[in-house]
Amino acid sequence: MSILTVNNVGKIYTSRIGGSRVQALTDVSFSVEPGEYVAIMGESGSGKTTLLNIIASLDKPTSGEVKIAGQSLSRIKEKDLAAFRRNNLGFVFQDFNLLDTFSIRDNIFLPLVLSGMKHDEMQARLTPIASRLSIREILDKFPYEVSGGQKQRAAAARALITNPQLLLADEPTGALDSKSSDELLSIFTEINDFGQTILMVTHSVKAACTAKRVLFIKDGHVFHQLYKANMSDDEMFRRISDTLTIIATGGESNEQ
Amino acid sequence: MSSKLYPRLAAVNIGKNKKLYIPYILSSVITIAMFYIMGSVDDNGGLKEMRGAEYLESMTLIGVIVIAVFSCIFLIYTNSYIIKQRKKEFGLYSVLGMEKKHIALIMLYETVYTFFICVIGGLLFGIIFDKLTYLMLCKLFSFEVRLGFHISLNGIFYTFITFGIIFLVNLVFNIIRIYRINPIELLHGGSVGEKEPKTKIISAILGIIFLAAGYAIAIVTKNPLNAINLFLVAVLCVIFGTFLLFMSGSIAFLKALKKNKSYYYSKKHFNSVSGMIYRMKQNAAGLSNICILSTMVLVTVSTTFSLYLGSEDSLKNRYPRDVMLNYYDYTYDEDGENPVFYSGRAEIVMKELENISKKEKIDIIDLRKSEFVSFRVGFDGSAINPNYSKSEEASYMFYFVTLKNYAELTGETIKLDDDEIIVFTSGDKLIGDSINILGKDYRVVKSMDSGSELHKIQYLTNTGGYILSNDNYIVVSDMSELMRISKAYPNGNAYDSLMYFDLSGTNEEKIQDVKVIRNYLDKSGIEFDLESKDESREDFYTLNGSFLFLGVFLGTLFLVVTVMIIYYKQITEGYSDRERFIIMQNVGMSRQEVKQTIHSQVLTVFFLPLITACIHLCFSFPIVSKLLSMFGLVNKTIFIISIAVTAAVFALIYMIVYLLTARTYYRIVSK
Repeated sequence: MSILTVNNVGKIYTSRIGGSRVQALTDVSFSVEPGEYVAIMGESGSGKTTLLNIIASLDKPTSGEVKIAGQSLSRIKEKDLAAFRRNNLGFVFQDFNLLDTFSIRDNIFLPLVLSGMKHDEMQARLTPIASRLSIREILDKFPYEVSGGQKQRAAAARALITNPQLLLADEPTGALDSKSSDELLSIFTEINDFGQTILMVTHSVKAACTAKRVLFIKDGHVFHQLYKANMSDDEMFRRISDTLTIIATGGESNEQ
Repeated sequence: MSSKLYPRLAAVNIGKNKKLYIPYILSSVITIAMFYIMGSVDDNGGLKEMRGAEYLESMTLIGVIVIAVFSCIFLIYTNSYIIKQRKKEFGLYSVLGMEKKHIALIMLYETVYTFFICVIGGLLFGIIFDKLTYLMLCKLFSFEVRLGFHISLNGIFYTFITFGIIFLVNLVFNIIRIYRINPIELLHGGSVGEKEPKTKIISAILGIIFLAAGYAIAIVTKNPLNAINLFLVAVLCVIFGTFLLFMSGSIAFLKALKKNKSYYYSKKHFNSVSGMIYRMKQNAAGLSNICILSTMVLVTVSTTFSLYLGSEDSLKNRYPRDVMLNYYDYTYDEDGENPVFYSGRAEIVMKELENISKKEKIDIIDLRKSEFVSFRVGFDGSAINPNYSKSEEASYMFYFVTLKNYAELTGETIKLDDDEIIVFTSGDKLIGDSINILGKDYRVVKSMDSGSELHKIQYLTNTGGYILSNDNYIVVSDMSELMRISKAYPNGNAYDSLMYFDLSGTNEEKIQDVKVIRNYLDKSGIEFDLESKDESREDFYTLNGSFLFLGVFLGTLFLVVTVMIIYYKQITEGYSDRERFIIMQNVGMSRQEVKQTIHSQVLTVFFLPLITACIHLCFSFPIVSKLLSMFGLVNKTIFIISIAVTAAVFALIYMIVYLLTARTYYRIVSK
């Protein structure tokens, strides 16, 4: 069974004043199998963040359906949605989304505390994750005291500590320098090797290269997809770049 | 750049920051209006002619000073807040190529604009409400209302000077702030991560000590006279204690909660404890300000209200009977130094009163004569020394009355042996179990230091009812004891007597009767002093009314300031909570849960000062009621009711303000 199924999802934004309509997604369909590592690419404004928000159940589609672990998101009641999100999804954001009021440790514990877990159990879960993400030394520091790379690893730890079915990442390397980016991406590859399913939205070709499959979104629908299979990183890089060029020139020709 | 650019930019800036500036301007307008009104009342010629106006005048002067000091602190506080919020804007100007002097110029224009808006608005308001205040005062004191429009030029002048200085100080602060910071810092002004506050055990302990000391003084102080000075000490202690405790005590407490892992890591407490620790640091100053201001509002308003409501009551204590007639039952010897007993004056007065009563048909009811002995002596706590050093500090006033006179006035039924006495003292050296009075030892059966009996016993002597320091009143068993003491006193005559009686009819009729009696006695050539309860009533109401006026006025001012601080706090917290709100939702907290967390947290933070203020109020009760007893108010019920009503009304206003500002807050958060 697929972990994520996206069926004919469309999203139209209607502005409050004037009622002008913007079509963010027209018709998107794809699915993600357990253990996959999928990257979604597209130009700015292609609708990839909208898509991620809909999958994350932070936003609602105007048409179509999203199923996570076989459960349709539209069927889940509003008040259960937060708990569902907490138990099934993990998030890594471009700007980390760590709370300044908590130490790194408490930031990571946040979803577990919300689920009502005992402190001992939380601590037991944290130990292996913290050493795998090499953040053990900074656990008692506060977000403003650590580097961007460390913050993002802490955010990843927070996403992983709930053992989510699906890890969602929104431009996770967007705010990082290249060294920190590499570290984070190798962590993603590593946890994927351990069986974690990942769905990542990204601009960066380099980040997308680490994924096993890349989906390209254009004008609100899936335009193309690439499987890495046995390709080397370099070859994958070239193929992605080529596809992006086609999307860019195609976009020009559409305007004529 | 065109020279018109800066004034225009300044105007646009104020408009763009209206969320910050409107409350600032509003509160300035209100404080300026209040300052002007106070000044104008102080300056009002019409009021000066009225009876008891001197009380009002000294009150309004205090009022002017308090408002000036207060506006200064408050406006500087608000200004610094506004500038902090606008750092980013100024940073942007720098980046866009403006030099610091240009920014300073913009600030100058902004300050000039706001100054004129505030002062002109304030004066307009002030002049309109001045008349209203004047009418209210007249009503309050039952003065005759004189029509006419009064504009106080002095008031306007002082308003300009005072607030001109305050705005100038603010401008200078702002410019210094801009010059000391580089543009990058300005740009990032708002977003620098706040550090988690450190626990300051020492200042937390100091806070507890200060607060405990303040409370202890308030509870322990027995003597009304000491109460005045000690009250100030207690107030300062409580203010310091509150600040220290809010600053560090709260953080220490919350950190202790955080250490308790099973408590801290639960859904209910996780967010609120850490959020509060974070918030406490930012807002401890604001919170303690709110707390102290609330306490001030509660204490001033409830105290002055009970004084005013208790006027009749204190009048009764101060004047147990309608008329008291003092006729100085002694004369001076040939040298004019030592007083000698003048026998027969009491009889002359008595005859004259009978005469008046008959001729003018005035009912003189229940006429009583009080005989007493009084002298100033040295006292070491156990024995009286008539040959003392003549300095005021080392000497004590002693008054002696007979049990018969005392019982007649108070209706108390006590028996005393020859060597037994009752002691009332307002002095700092309390009389112990026994005392040697001019050669005889007496046993103290009962000892009192305040309450209505102290006022009553004063009525039996010629003190005029004012509690002075080092006064001791002693009730002896009978006339022969009184005479013994009088004779044993070596420095001339110490004996005197007075009369008191009631009149019939309404208050106005009694005032008329008193006038007639005074007239007759004047003509008869007897040296006398007559105190009438009904004549004093007006004085009482003017004095207590002045207090009430001042109390309500300052109470309103404090309230306005409190409301403003609350408003600014809510806005700041709104902006800083907005991000937390979004992040928590992303991490898997439902909208409802987030709202609840923030709500309960804000609620706690919001009502913490109110609750603390109420605790302060409770502890202030003993000392304030001692102070009130000086003004003759010994009826605690009136005071308790005033406190309860004031606290209830205040809590209601506070709630309304909270709900209104909370709405603004949610609007910011959920944008």
